[in-house]
Amino acid sequence: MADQNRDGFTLQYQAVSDKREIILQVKDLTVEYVTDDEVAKAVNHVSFELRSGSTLGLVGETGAGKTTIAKAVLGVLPDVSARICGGEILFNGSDLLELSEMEMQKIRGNQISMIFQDPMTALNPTMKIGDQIKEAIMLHEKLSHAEGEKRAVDMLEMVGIPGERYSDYPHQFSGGMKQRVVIAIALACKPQLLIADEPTTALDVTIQAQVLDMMMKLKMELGTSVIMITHDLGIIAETCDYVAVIYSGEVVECGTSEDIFDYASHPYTVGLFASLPSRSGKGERLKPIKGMMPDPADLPEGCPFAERCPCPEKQCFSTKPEYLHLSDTHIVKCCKRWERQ
Amino acid sequence: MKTSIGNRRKKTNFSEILRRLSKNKLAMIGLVVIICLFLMAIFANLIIPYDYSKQDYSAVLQKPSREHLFGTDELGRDVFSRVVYGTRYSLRMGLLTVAVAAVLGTLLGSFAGFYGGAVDNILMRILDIFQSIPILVFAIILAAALGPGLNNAIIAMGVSTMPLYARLIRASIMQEEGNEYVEAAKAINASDMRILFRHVLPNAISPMIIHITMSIGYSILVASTLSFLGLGAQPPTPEWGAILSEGRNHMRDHGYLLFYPGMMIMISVLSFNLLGDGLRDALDPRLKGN
Amino acid sequence: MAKYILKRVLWLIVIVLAVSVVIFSLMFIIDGDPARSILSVNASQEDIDALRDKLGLNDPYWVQLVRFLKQTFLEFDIGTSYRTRKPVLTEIFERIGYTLTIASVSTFVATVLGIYLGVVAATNQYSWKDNTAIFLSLFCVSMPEFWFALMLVSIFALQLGWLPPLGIDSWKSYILPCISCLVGGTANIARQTRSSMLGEIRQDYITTAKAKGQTKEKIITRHALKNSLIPVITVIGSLFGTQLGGSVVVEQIFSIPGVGSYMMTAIGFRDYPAVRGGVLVIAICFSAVILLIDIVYVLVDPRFSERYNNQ
Repeated sequence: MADQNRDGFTLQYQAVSDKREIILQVKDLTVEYVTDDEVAKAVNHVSFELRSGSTLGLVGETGAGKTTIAKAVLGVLPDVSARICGGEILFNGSDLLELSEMEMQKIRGNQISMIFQDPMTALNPTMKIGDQIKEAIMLHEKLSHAEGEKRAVDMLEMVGIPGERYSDYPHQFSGGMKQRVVIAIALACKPQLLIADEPTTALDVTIQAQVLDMMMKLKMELGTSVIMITHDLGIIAETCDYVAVIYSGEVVECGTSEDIFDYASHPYTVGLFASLPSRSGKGERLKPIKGMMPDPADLPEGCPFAERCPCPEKQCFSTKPEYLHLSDTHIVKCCKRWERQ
Repeated sequence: MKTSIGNRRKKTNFSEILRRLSKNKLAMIGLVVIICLFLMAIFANLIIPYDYSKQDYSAVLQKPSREHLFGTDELGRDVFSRVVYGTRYSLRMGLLTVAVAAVLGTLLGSFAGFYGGAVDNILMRILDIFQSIPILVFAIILAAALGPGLNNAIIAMGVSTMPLYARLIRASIMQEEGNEYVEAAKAINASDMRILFRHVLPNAISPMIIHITMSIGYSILVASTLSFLGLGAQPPTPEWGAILSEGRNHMRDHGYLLFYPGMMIMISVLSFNLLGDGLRDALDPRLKGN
Repeated sequence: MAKYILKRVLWLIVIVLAVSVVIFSLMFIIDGDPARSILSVNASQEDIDALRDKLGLNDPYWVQLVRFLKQTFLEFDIGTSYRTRKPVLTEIFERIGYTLTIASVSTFVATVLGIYLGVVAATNQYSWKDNTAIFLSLFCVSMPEFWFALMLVSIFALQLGWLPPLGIDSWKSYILPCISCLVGGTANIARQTRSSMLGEIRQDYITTAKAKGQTKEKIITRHALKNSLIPVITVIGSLFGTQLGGSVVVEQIFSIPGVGSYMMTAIGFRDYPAVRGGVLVIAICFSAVILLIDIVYVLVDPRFSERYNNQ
């Protein structure tokens, strides 16, 4: 899929001006989960930026810390166990981590909103779906109940659900329909930034494309910037301008889609592509990345990927790699002196 | 994060449960008190300063003092000795009641849960009928029908609390039934009994352990109530409920006759409940909600 | 929905019939002879036999059972008390008010108080409020109801003289019995609410509500509370049953002329019709409340009403 879309993608990327203003800038973000007996370092010194109207893909395997990054941006990490240990999250120039809970409430759902991974559990089972959309609208806009209801119906229809279903409950909906409702909630106040956390993972393949298309169409209409979290490189290829590859709570490589798809440099990114089935039909064996991601409660001293790296060097096991600029847009975190071919 | 949770779930074996349990202070306090209670019951004869049934008309209804720690009752018997000795009866009633209920309930519940369909329907409807009478009322009627006495009270309480166990076991079996390992066992043609005892029951056991611990406490409560009403242990047996029943006539001026036996009931029930709560958190950390 | 209610009402009738059979059979095997209790201690064997004949106690089990069922369900007559020689139904109607008042008041107060405490504990998990609530509720669950009642009488009635120790004279007389009944129930509901609430506030839909920008208070009241109360509803039903059962003990201690004390006296006297009547009425009240609760459950939880509407 990646091969097929690559050209179309490059075109799209080049059509976009680089001079768009930066809407979100995450600097050196570190998040830990603290339990009774251990501290799991879920996100380690993550930095990235997002330009207005663009789409950034966060790609990585399950447990790499993608969702934690997203929840940290929105400020919805579980307060009992999660701890933000450092960093800044600058949204339109102001640091979200410095804001009070009241101020964050005004931003959540209004300027930044999020689509969750599992539509089956993301909706309140005993509340009418229309009311759940209306709630999001009424929180941020001064409307009468009738107006709020009308807006909720409009949102339902915008995501392709007939307005008469306003009074239905989530259990009367299929997974794809529920995800549409979740998207309607997220877009109800026309947010500047939408975080989509694996929005299609829990859906059937046929529904996936529908939901994704719809999301992207709405994004264009509303001019929303998007952070797309996924482990599916196909989705990244179809939707993203920029990509950050996350491994063990770190950004190991980031750049434009072109950088990542054409000039993948970090051995992990290379491994990700190699483990995809190719469409050329030659029947080659897939090359899975051997081993497992390190336990976030027990991170290695050196490069977190060293254990699994196909060509590690001695220093990889002892020292943390530094970021290396391969081009203006392309950064990689690896000890080896990669050259962009 | 997800990987670390995955690893942790794999570690859930016996020693891990014990480790988690031992970190729970309240549960440990409960466990220590329970052990003390058992020691008290076993060595009751060595602890008590007087014979629990010895009457002494020269020392009737005395307030607690150095000679009589908990005072004496209307027949001059030493309340401390009676209360300590009573531990035997109360613990016995609590444990045996739970044993009766657990065995009956497990049998009934596993057949209902495992065979499902008509068997399940009939058994569950029968339980519905039993459960439409409040437990205490049912135990009282049953105890009255069987005749007053320790053993009859145990049977009465066991039978009336049995439906709770049956339902619990049935529910966990139904849940386990849907799991693939049962399908797998069926696929290799294992016999029903084998599947039930080797595969399904062991997996349904952890909610059962929690329930058993909690209901020992509850059984001690109900047992003392029955004895208080004159349907359980009969005087002069120093069961705590029976001691309370005897002391009731003097509660205006001799409140201590009621205070100590009641405290003993409460302390022992509380310890079993503390341990039960701790076990629940240790066996199923998800319920704790961490 | 109507169909569901109809089905449940029919089932209630079946249950009442079955309970009657169970109770009749238990009374049949009870030892002791009512005839001997009715007549004086030195009555002759002939007199006793004659009375047994008159009461139909010498008939075989099946004959007695059928006669009892016919009387109860076709003629609506539970029989005449051996002890007081009055119709059992009349006597029970005179007494049931006391029992139901205490059971309903204590169930109601326990529910309101318990839910409040449970929510406070759950929303302040690991704080001192939570710890106090947990420990206090465990304490109350572990307390024997009859002992607590005795302690209340001893302190508030006998020592301080604030409230009447016995009988029912005014509304004041209800205070101590209700308190002794509701303490355990409150603790129970609080524990259930707390654990159910803790389960709900970790659900994904709560994060969704948070992501909408909803305030913490509103998230609790608009989203988590309703969903966490759904499992608690069923506990309320069984709590009412516990209170009805507890009435036997509490009415004895406070000398309240309710159904519970009536039944206990009847058991001692081998007064079969009175015992049967008492248990039957309690079972009917209990089952009716459970039915009511189940209907509320279906109304509150759209997932269930859907299922029943489709049936």
